[in-house]
Amino acid sequence: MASQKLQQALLEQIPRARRYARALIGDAESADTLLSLAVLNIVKQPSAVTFFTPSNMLLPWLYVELHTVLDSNNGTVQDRKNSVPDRFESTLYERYDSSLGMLTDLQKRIYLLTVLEQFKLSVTAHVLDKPIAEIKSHFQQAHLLVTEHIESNF
Amino acid sequence: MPNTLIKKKLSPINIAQAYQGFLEEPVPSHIFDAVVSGKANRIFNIAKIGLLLVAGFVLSMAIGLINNDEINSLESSINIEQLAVSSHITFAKDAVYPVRVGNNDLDHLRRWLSYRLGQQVQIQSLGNVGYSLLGGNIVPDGDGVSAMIVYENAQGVKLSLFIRNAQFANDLEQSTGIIDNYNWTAWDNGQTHSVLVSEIENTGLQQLMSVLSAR
Repeated sequence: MASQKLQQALLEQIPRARRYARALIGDAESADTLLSLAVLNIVKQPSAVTFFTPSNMLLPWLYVELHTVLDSNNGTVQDRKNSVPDRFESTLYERYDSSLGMLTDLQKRIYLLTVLEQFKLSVTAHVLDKPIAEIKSHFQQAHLLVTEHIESNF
Repeated sequence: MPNTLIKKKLSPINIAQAYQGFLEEPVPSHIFDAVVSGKANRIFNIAKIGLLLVAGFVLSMAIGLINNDEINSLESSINIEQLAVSSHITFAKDAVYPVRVGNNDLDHLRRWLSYRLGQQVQIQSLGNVGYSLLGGNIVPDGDGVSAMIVYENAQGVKLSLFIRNAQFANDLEQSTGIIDNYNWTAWDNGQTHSVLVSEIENTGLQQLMSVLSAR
């Protein structure tokens, strides 16, 4: 049954989507809440059953919905704490969280979709609805900022 | 840790390693519910459209056979006390499956009921008055759903707390009564209407209501 296929495909992608949402938002609880809203946006669409194929486009679609939910809840989401953690006591992801805090929202999305999710630039451009040239430019800036932050703080 | 090693470990390539832990965590129950309930909503909507079409057809066939008084009698709907007692008999009194979600994952139960009701549901303990929590159910209620929390005492007597989202409803006066040998007591919490149902005597039910409504 198609709906069961969609359910199964979504459930398979949830761990990866949680990782992305957590890295993007910086707060685990807000990330999970927004992700569940994004999931609901997908499963409530009558066209979801037919539109999710090919299945490898489900994750980009989920991220489009996640960004939409995030943008519409911007005032209520608890954002990452923009402080630099202790260099020896902090965990690896705390240090990345701190680095990602240096980026703008768009830079974070581009950086995470490209580096963490390993999306092709064309897919990232599609998800964010931006020209590839703009994606490349923002990515270079983001990469530079993250690298500099890591080198100067850790 | 030497600085060079730290820098190597923090290269952007290793960002996946930094967030690896989130891939290995179990999927939180509320996200799982979002996937599953979205599907349930779609099926429910399709079923509702189908039922409306059938009802319209039946009504159009019967319209010439019944008078206006009979039409008016069809419009009267079941009240919250009748629904609470009916749900108690159907679900809580079931000897095998009194609840759909059990008490083994209280947090999941609370999130599930809150999500389906569209309102925060607090699951209160009645352990100090002799009732243990069995779990909860979602009950069809008009165009939406209501929640039901089921308790049981040492003698196996069931107690069910029916909760309806009443954010946009009129106030409900506190009242008590009996339907089909089941006592009920109803009250208004502002955001919800609650009905407690059991076969225990009414005074016992009132005491339990004071415990539940006081918190």
